[in-house]
Amino acid sequence: MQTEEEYSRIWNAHQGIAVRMARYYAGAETEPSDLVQEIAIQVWRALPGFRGEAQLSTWFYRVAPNTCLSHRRRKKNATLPLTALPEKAIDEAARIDQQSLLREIFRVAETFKPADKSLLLLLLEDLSYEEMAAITGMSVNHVGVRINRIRNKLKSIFSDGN
Amino acid sequence: MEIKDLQHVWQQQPVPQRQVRIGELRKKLRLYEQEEGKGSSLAGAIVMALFALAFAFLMIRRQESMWLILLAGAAFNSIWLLIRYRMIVRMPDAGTSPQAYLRSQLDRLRFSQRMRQILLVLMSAVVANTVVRTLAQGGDYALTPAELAGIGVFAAVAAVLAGILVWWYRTQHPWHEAEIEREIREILQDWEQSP
Repeated sequence: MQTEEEYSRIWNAHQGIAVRMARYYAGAETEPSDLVQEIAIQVWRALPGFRGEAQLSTWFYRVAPNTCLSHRRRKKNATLPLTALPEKAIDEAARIDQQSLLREIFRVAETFKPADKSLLLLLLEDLSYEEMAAITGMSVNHVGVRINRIRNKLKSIFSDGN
Repeated sequence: MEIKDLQHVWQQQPVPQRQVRIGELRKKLRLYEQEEGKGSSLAGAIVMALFALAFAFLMIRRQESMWLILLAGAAFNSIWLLIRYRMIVRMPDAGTSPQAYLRSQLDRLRFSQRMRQILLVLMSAVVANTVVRTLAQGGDYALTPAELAGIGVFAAVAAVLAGILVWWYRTQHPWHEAEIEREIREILQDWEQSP
């Protein structure tokens, strides 16, 4: 039986992940704050089923993308063109000093296919290959190959004119 | 620009700290489920109205043996709606990997489609059987013009309701099944393809 204190403790420790993921996955017609709220609801609902087989952070990293995927599907945003810019996500993030770099990250992420987009997020979160494999269900080798490809793409994009 | 620099910028985003109130969360969860489950409830109401009409007709015609088949149909319908409701409201299955989540969604979608197909075949069989048996009765059981008109009205109302249901699913329901299935397949393929 989960308690309010237990949930609050977990949420407070991980809400940074939730906010960053919501900004990352928010489409042009979705407010990141709506996604954060939905992630909070899903975590509250799913927490009793957490059996401690994975680390709590790994579990949290799995909840958020699945929530974002279903949220966007329901909002019919799934067919957005791959190059579409998530303006609202950028607006939300624009408060920080390096807004242009974040804008570029969002733009690049939107050009990636779903699996690479998810892996890019985990790379930005600086997780190990093992953690990424645990979160995505891919093998460590598979993760390694894809991450190398993503790294090369990022290098080619961010070395030009940056 | 190194990857480390990108990671630094990404992780240094300011995150507003918000305390979550459980009461507020419960309230939002209720609203969320009501809102997201509305579609399935409406579809369920229309299908159940069809069943109610069929029941009423069969009772009037004293077709007791058909009640059981209709009951089975109603049960199929309930299970199908339950699956759809869970697909809409209870997703995502938190804590599973994206592949497992997508595969389970695809399985549920297929199962729900099978249920609907069985339901439609069953309902069609019941209606066809009833109409044929009714029309085939002769002698003392021959149909009066009023009864024939009743059958006509029943068939017309059932057809209109079925038409509304199909139209609603194709155009109004927020979940377009074919589109969802295609999208899930594409994403799953992307996740599972070898590097």
